[in-house]
Amino acid sequence: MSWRGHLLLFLMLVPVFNTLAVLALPQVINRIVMQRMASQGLDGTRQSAGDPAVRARQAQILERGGVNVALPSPRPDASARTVVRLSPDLLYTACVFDLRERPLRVTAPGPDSYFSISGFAADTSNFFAFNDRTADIGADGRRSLDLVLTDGVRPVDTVPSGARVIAAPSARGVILFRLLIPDDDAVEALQREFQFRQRCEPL
Amino acid sequence: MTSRLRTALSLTATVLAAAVVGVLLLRPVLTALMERNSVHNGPWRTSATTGSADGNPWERAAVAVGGLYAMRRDEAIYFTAFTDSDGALLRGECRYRIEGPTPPARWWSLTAYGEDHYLVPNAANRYAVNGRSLPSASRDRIELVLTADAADAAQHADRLPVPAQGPFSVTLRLYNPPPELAASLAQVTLPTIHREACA
Repeated sequence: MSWRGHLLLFLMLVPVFNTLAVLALPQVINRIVMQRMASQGLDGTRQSAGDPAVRARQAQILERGGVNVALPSPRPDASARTVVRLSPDLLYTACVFDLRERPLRVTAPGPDSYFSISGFAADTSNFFAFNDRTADIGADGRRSLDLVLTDGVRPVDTVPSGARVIAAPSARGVILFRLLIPDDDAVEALQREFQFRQRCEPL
Repeated sequence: MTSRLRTALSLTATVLAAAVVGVLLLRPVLTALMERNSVHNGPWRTSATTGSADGNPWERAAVAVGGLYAMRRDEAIYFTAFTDSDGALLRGECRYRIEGPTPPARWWSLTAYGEDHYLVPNAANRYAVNGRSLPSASRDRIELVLTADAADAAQHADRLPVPAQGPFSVTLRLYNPPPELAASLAQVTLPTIHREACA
């Protein structure tokens, strides 16, 4: 092949490889981040400052690690280096899910201020989001969200009463719980009363 | 070396070179496409499809790099500024005033990020300002200062610390915005960013 032929082939292949890289990038980044989150939660093994009992509970939950587990993170600060552009107004809890064996039940009690649960597929697209405005209100006036996440293929045997069923577009992905911190003094109470009670476990 | 082997080697080299260049072009191509596809409003830019399955592959790739796990626009709208209102890059060596009406949303906050997209270490341990953290007189409007001066930030609640040097960005988050905001991303009145002084 002449040098012109090589040049033509090169010019044709560059956009092809570029497009392949664009298509692969979200999945690659997501896979790396999910691996780290499954062992460390959203922002590593960093410990929150403040109440030792809150720190101990946090460490106890994070110690379990793994997939299909809700892993709470301390309030984001400059030491949070797993996910970019976190909001310091929120308490995040991450759950890396894998629906290949069983569906998942995701529950969160919530305060009167903003809280949400959102799901992200393997390609990082946000396939659902529910917040306090769409939460259920119990007889005691407390708000909560109760979801069952399925792979959309196998039917769920028994759906808990009141739970919303959501079919995920991919068997693996991430569930993120968000809790708004209305003021700095509210952080530890939010952690104890709501964040540590969020659940993400096989049904 | 036979001519067939030479041809195979040169073809392999061409394919490998194309693969390397294709991957190296990822960042500039994404930057250019995001620039073209984003909605501009003064110094602020946002994507109308962030987090959505409607986003095209380039948009999704750019969000994965610079805003992983962003929510859909009915849940939150993110306006980010890398420049001031005159179009100059935001730099830690300068001090900026941000002012304008409070954006329509249930809750808003403004956060500064370093060039690496992570939160900025600062002595005041302040990473964002919001409607509740500003002095009460300023709550109907956003009026605050971006500064790397730690002593100044520690003394005033309306200071948002930024890196001491180099480029940075700020993100204005609007949680549970009214539905009409999503249809007027380029028209809604957002705060201006004016440079006051540089070191």
